[in-house]
Amino acid sequence: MSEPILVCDKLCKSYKKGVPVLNNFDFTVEPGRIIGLLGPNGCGKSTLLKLIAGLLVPDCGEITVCGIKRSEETNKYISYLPERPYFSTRMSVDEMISFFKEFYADFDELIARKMLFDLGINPKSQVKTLSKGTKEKVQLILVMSRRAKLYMLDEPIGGVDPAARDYILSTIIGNYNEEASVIITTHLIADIEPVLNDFAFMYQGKIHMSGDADETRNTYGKSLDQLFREVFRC
Amino acid sequence: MSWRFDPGSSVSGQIAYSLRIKILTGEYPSGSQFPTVRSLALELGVNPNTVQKALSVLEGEGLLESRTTVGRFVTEDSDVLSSALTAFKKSFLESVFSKADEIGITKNDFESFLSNKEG
Amino acid sequence: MLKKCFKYDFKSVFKIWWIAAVTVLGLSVPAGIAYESLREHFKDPARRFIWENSAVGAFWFSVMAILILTSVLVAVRFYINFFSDEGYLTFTLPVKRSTLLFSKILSGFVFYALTALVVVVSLAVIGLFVPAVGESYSCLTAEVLCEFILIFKEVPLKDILWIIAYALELVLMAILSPLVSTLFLYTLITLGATIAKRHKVAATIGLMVGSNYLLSALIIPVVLAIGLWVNATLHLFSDKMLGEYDWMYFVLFAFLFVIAVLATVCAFLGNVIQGCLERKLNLP
Repeated sequence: MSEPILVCDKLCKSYKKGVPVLNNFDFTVEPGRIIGLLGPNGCGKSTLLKLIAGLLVPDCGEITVCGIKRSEETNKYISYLPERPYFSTRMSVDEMISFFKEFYADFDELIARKMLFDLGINPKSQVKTLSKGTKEKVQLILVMSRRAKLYMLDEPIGGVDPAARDYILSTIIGNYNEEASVIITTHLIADIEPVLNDFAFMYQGKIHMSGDADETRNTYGKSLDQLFREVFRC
Repeated sequence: MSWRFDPGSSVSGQIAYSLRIKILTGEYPSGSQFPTVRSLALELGVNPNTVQKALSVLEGEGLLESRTTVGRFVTEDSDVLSSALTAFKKSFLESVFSKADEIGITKNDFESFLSNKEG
Repeated sequence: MLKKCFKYDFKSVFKIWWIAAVTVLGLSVPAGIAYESLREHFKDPARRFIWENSAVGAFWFSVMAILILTSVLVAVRFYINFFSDEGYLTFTLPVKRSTLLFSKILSGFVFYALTALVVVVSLAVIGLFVPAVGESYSCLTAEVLCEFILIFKEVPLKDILWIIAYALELVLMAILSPLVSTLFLYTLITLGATIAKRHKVAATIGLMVGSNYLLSALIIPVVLAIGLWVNATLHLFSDKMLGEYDWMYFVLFAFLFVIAVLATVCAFLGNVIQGCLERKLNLP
C-alpha cells in the first residue's frame, strides 16, 4: 500500500491567545480519494488548508506531504485553490499560463488551453476585465491543469452560479486519478456529496464524524446534508 | 447534468438500480459495450468509485461482464437476463402492492382499473 | 528559481518605469536647448522666460517624478505581491521565502541604480548642448586619461594598492547605501502589513510617514553626536599620528567601519523581513 498523501499530526493553531482554531488535530488522506471537509464558516477548514499550503505556521504539530516534511519543496506536490482570487495585477490569461508553466513543472498547458476554449474564455483578455464567475473558473482551470498529488479546493462552488457549479464538479470528477487526492472544503454539502469518496464533519476545529460518504448514507438512511443538520443542530 | 439522488440510501445503490433497469429493458442491449466508469461518473456527476461500486454489484448479479483491457459488456446470457427481469418485476410489483395497501387500494380497485384500461 | 522570480519582479515595475525613464531622457533635450538658449538665441526676454521655464521646469519635474515613482513602484510591487491576495499565489510557489525576498531586494536595488543612471545620462545630455560643457567633455576625458597614465607610471605600487582599496570601498558603500534604503522601505512595509490586523495599507503608510518624521527629528542630534565623536577621534588620532600613511590607514578603516555598519544593518533588516514572512504572514 502506498504511503498517504497527507498526514497532519497533532496540529494546533490559534489566531488570538487562548482561542484555538485547531487543537490537537489529526488528519490523514490516502491517495485516490476525494474527501470533503464539511462544516460551517469559521470552523477551521480554511485554516487547515492554509497550514498545509504553507501560508500559516502551526503553533505545534507536524504536516507531512507524500512522506516529506512540509516545506516549499512540498508545494511542488500541492495545487491549492484559495477562496480569494489571487491573480497578478495586469496580467492576461496567457501570461498567467506562462507563469504557471515556469514555476510548476507539472503544469499541463494543453489541458488548460482546452478548458479555456471549452468555456469560451479569450486567453488574451486581461484577468482584471473578467467577471467574477469567469475569474473563478480561470483560477480553477489553472489549479486543475497541474498534475499534482494533492489538490486543495477551498470553497470552490461557494459564490458561483449553478451552471458554473456543474462545470467545476465535472472538472473535479474528470480529473480524478488513483495517485492523487482532492480535499474540498465547503458548507454546501448537498451539492458536493455525490462527488465525494470520504467526508469529515468539522466543527470548532475538530473532526466530529468521518467516513465513507456512500456507506454512511446507507448506514444512517440519510444524506450527508441531513446528517450534518442533525449532528450540529443549533 | 446530475439527477438528484434520494437522500435515504447510498448513491451507488441508486445508480445500480437505474442501470439495472436500463439493462433489463434493453436500453443497454445484451452483448453491447457498456460505458466506462469515467464517462458514467461524468454524466451522473458522481465520484468514479461510487460508479465502480455500482458496476461491481451488477457484475455480481451477472448482468455485466468485465473483459480485461477491452472493458465491460452487457451479458449475452439470455437466461441470466430473463431471470433477472423476472426477479425485478416481482420485487417491483411487491413494492407497488405494499404501497397500495398502505393507502387502502383493494384488489377490486385494481381489477376495475385494468378493465377500464382495456375497454 | 531566483532568475524566474527576478524576471517577473523586474518586468512588472519596468512596464511603467520605462515611460518615466524615456520622458526624463527625452525632456533633457529641450532642457539642454533651453539652457543653451540662455546665451544666444532669444533676445526677447519674455519668450526666453517662457521657453526656458517650461522646458527646464518640465525636465526637473520629470526628474523629481522618476525619483518618487521608482520608490512608489518598488514599494507597491513589494506590498501587492507579498501582502495582498496575490500573496496566495506567491507563497504557495515551490520557492524559498529567502529567494522570493532576495529577488525583491535585487530588483529594488536595480531600479534605484537604473534611475540614478538615467538622471546622470540626462544631465550629461544637457551638458552636451552647452558648448563649453560639450567641449570640456572631450577635454575632461583626455585629461583624466592623461592623469591615469601618469599615475600608473609614477606612483609606486603600494600607493596603487591604496587607490584600489579606496575605490573598492567607495563602490561597496555606493552599493550598500541604496540597499539599506530598499531594505528599510521593505521592512516598514512588512511590519505594517504583518502586525496590523486590519487596514494594512493605512498602517504601512502610517509607519512610513511616522518613521520619516522620526528620522528627521533624530537626524540632527545623531549627526551632531557623530560629528563630535569623529572630531574627538581625529584629534586623538592626530596626536598619536606617526607617519603620513597613518592618515591613509585611518580613512581606510573608517570606510571599512561604515561598510560593516551598513552591511550589518542590511543583514539585520533582511532577517527581520524574512522572520515576519515566515512566521507572521497573515493574508486577507
